Amino acid sequence: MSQTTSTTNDIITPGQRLCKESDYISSEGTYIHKGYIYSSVLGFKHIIKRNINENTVNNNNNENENQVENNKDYIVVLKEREPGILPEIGSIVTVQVLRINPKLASVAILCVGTKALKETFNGVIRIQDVRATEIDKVEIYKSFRPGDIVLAQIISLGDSRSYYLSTAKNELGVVFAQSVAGSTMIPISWNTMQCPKTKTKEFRKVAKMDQDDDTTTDSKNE
Amino acid sequence: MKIDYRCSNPIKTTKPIDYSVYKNKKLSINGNGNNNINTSINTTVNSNNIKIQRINRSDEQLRQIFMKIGVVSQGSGSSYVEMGKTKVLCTIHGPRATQKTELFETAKLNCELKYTTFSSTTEKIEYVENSKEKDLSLLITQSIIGSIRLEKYPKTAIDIYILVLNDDGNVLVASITAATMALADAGVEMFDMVSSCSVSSTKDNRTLIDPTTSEETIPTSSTILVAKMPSLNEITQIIQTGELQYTNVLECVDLCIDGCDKIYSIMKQNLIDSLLQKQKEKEQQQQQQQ
Repeated sequence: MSQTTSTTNDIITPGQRLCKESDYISSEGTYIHKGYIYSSVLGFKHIIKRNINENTVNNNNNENENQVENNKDYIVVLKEREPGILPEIGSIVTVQVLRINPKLASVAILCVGTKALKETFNGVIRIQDVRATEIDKVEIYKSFRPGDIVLAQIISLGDSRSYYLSTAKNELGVVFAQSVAGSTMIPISWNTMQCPKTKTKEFRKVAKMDQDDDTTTDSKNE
Repeated sequence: MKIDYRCSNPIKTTKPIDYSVYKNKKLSINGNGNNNINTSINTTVNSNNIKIQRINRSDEQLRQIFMKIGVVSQGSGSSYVEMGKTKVLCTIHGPRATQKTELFETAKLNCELKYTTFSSTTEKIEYVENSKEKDLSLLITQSIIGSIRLEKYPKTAIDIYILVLNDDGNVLVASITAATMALADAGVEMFDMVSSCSVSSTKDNRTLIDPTTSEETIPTSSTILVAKMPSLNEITQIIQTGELQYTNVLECVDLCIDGCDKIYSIMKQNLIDSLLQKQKEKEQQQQQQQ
């Protein structure tokens, strides 16, 4: 999308006035106040140039006002240290199922993308968010069991207690589950997993995993 | 706050520290270090015949300030602030998950201030949280809540823990400074850094900036504290204790604002310096690896 070339490498403190609002597009680590762009974190100033090809395409389609917008570069202040990653709407998270009931599965969010959280957040997978098709026939206990590791996507901030999650995609669902006998089960179809020890089959909403890569981000791009 | 009642029995064998011993030592140290500063003693006597002396600084002069960020390995950010003999340690935890949130669109800011039992020479401090600590915690929260971009961290809580290691007046100012520095160290997004300053006004029309405990506790004096965001030019907190003439109030607030700007520049420079140092350390590590 945009070219990432930093032209300056200055140290910026929170609240420092960076430039006029019209000079750059305010981006990560900055905010606009009374016509000026200010920094909101301690870190280094970078100016990220926009791709010229993208500009020319947009300029042909849009009005003059937008042309000016498109010629501006992004201004960002990159933190020297992240205070810890937080789950956001749309991000793919790794969760562990804590308890289930006929309406929903309560989960603990363990990782966001590829980064582990320091402390777990609470989440809920409601029955209508388990899969995309045949929503009315979903049964929670045939989809998840307590202890399962599940890939899910955050769909909203939810209620005061928990995030709302969804597994209504092929690549989302159970990635790791143990059978009643206690051994790790092998997925054999989109909704069944088999125990290698006892050969019993158990129902799960299985995630379709990419065979080559097992990272969460790659399966998202698939 | 969890209270351990087994600990609430203070040890009675300790003696308060006699600072007059240190005072004489400090004088000689200062004399060696800064030859330019003339040793001047300003004296005032209030109605109760308590002498107030300022050694090595004028009424409009702040005490020497020392700041450092990243002093505690736990937590997401920390700072240590020294203003004269007032010593404050601050740690930030979070933004972290909360179980009970009423307002979940924004983060919740919690602040807890605690005096150590050995912090004060004049009053006895228990392990149990007292009302003074609660009041100060609330004031600190009010002073800095306006500067933090809480909407950036929904469903989370930011916890600020402040520990007063030594109390020699102006604890609130030191705490606000420490909290802001620690927030900057933690990388929490904020509109501006909050700096604060307080002035104590005595009956004989002396305005003492950055008062010590002895200056704060003159019975007839009154203090004014101003916390502000200098870059945005917004005041976040004004506290007045005691009686003051209107003209005096204005004068004190102006003095406070000047002091705020001075402290702000120190804070800013300190952050830049510490970041530069971190960068240097990183480079050295990389060189060693190569």
